[in-house]
Amino acid sequence: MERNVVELLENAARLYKDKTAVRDTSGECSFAELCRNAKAIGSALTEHDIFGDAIPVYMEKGIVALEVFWGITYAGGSYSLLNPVQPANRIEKILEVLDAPVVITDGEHLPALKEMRHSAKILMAEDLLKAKIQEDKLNVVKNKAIDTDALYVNFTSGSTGTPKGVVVSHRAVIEFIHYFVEIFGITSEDIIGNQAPFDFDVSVKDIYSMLLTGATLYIIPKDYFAFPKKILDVLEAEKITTLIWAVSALCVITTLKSFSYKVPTSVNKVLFSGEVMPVNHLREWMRVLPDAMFVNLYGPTEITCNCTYYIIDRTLNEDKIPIGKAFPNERVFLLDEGQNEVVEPKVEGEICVAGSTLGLGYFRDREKTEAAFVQNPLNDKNNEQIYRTGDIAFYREDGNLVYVGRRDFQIKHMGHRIEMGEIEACMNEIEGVERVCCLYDEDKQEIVAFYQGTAEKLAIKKALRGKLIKYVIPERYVTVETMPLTPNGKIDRKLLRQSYLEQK
Amino acid sequence: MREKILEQLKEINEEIVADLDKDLLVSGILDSFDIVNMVVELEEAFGVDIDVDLVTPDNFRTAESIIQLMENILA
Repeated sequence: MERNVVELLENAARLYKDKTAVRDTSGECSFAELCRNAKAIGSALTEHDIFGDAIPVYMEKGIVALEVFWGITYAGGSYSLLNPVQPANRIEKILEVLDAPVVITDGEHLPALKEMRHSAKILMAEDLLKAKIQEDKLNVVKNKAIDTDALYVNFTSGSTGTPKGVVVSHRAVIEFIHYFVEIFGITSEDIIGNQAPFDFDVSVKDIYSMLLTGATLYIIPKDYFAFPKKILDVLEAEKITTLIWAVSALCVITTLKSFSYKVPTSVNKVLFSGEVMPVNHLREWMRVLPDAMFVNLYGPTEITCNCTYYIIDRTLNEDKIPIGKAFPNERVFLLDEGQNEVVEPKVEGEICVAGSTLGLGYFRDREKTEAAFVQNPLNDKNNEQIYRTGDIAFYREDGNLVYVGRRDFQIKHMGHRIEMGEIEACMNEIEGVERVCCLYDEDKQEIVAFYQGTAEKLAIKKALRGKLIKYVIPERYVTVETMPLTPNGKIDRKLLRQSYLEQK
Repeated sequence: MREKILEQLKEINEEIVADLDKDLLVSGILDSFDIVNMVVELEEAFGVDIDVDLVTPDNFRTAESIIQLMENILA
């Protein structure tokens, strides 16, 4: 098996040469070109000695972003896409955590990056692409690299207000993607319609399925997801066969009853993850695509994409879709509060994962890494690291796992993991806000911020816009005269939720 | 009717109605998922079905265009 993802790239360039690898609204690129451009960028980057560094990439998803990713990989670094949709304040925080020698951007995003506070040297993708390929230099790096080196860093919401970088290795992605394409039958004939942003690990499945199988990746612009007609038009025009999407994106289509306009008949595989798929929406998808395969995928970024899957039965006679069983070569099990394994059905426990797909921890954060990546308490004989997901589940009688919810204050909103602590920390910095507590209203699917203080709601929202990503900003604001407190002086979330639900 | 639509838009998101001619898509006030949610809320508030054909960038570019769309639907 391959040691480094650039081997996947080189294999694809050799096997599929001039076949289209990636298409976006700006153009297309063959496997051979993709490889050549990545080598050019990599050759230029070896001059900057980035081996072992995590390099921020500040640009939109697209062909160039992929070439930059693998250029960085060729030079022995790992990549971290900073989505320009995020506010400057958050990007600055991430740049500070990464503390990289260089940051790569393009002409479109250079002005915004120049305005930000950071000490990295700015390199332009346009310039790097012009560099001459130096195979000898790339070979030096290749011989030094091992498969447990970091491949990418994806930032998620952190409970203290500073984004948390999940680091994932080459080994993990290579291991996962081989099983992934085999189980779901992805081949060079497929056209994958990419929905997920590149800083979100759902996209890892799109990108590396393309590289491993020679499938074509079509990158759908994010704006299309506001207007279902545009998505359906592009699915039809590009003859897209495979959707590996967030649940919320699939629901955009069904919520607006868009299939009356058009049915994307070329689609034969629909794989979804990110949150619980509402059964009525899934039914509608299954009705219009009677021959397609539908798969529920589960897993946090820390274990590389997904650790369990469930291929949905055409009859769909269940009201809650299970998250299923473990991918091959991954150990997924439940632990109860006494650190004992839960084996009997219908008993809840925390989902724990072991195997070579485990992430390498959180970037420059030993403390958080050691809290989440721990020795398997069931194994007192040798080292066996497990990741504690914080997700609660139980076994159905047939052995399939069913997701129940979270153990802490993390929520899933529009497919994104959000720590209430991140919102609360940012709100607490605003003048006129004294005490904050955020809750998630599951019914209305909105984040509700309760606060003590004199600040105006609109002013809070405006201030948050400069600090937080759009989907994290609470939709509803409720002022409270005094926060209910627990006996030890913490905000009583249970009581707050109770009184909110009573008033509703 | 215009007042009622304005009131409803304000209820959904006060920022939308702060400037009726502001480009909501370019300014980032509305992102993709917001538009779908807004359509659902407008449908519920006015008891109508908004056809997917009408969910276009032109109809949702500004608060003013959303108001006109709703006025046409409700007329």
